[in-house]
Amino acid sequence: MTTQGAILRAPSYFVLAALLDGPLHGYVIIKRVSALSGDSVRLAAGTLYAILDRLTEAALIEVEKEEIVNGRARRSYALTPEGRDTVQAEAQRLAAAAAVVTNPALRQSALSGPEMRLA
Amino acid sequence: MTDVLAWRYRAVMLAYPRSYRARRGDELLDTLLEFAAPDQRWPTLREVASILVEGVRERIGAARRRPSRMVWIQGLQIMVVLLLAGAAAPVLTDVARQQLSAGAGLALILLALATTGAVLRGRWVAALPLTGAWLAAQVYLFTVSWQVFPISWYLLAAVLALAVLAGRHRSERPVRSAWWLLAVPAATALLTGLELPTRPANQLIVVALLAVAGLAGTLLDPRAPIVAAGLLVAETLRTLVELPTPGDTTSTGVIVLLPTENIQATMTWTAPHTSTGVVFFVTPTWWALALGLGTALLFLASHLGVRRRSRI
Repeated sequence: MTTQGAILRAPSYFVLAALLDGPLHGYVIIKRVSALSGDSVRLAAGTLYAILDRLTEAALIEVEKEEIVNGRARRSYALTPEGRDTVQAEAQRLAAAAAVVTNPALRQSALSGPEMRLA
Repeated sequence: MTDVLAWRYRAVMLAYPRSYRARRGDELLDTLLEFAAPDQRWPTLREVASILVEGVRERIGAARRRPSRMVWIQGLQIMVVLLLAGAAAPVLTDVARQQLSAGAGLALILLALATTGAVLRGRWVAALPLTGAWLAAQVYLFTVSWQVFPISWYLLAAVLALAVLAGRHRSERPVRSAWWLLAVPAATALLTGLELPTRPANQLIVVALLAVAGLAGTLLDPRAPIVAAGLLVAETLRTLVELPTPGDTTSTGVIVLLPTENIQATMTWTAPHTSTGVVFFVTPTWWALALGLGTALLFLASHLGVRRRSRI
């Protein structure tokens, strides 16, 4: 089940995508988001934690593990089932939107109805 | 080196509220230090900007995702509180200068307190007639006994905003923290101390600054342009519609709305005004255009900001 009416901003989408292969902590999430987005999304640490707050609040991610490293708390975040469904639904939506541009056959079949024929 | 850098990052992180630092501070610092070069002593500009922006947004309650409707309600509520503060400022000034009779001053102050209390508690239906009574009291004092200030356009704008809140959002009340109460005396004190300019060219600058501040505020909080739009409308009305006081023969009023026998309606504008050799032509048409454009821009900025913030 996905969050009703939820639409992800690009940084949130890539954060969820970064967590698809398992729980990660802040530093690694930023690195992965940068790599997955081809450097188009480069998160500052302050921005990352604002995003993590929003995703946690929407129950799309949860704290999976908390440990002490160098005397400081470090938390790892994991996708919830709802988060996994949401990012996959968003990916399908984006793929469908991309397909009407990249796939001429799909475009033609969508426009084949009588009311859609060009005059 | 790391200790110095950590200390400096902790100093910047004071932008966040204490509760947020207690919950997130160590974790955020850990991430920041992992990105630091071995000999780095100073925080990067990019991280500092991010911490400051998110810290302020956390403090003013703009960081959380909220339904669009609630953002508009909160924006209108803040707008009304500032408008009421703007209306209360001249009352307090006149009471301090003893230009109001003790009875009239006390009545207006009580009305102002009751109205502001109702708005802060989200009691729109109660606040609307109270604001109306306050406005009526000022009109009465002006027309009957010529006691000081004319109609408060700030109050009129507040009545309009409260009518929207009472009509469409009767049972919805935003939750506010206690520190929010401090905004009321702070805004009143600021507006009491501030001598609002009376020259049209200077007023145009005030209006332009208000619009720019509102648009810039969108970056932090989509409620900012909603508030600025309300103040913009009230300030422009204050400028456009001027009521001459007794004995004033040099009024630059454009339209006089109050039809009493003491007031002669005038439809002329006495521009141009000269200032240090520069001639300013500020006509009602330009004012109306500036008002319309500025308000539309601010509401558009709010709409876009609210829509963006409603996403995760």
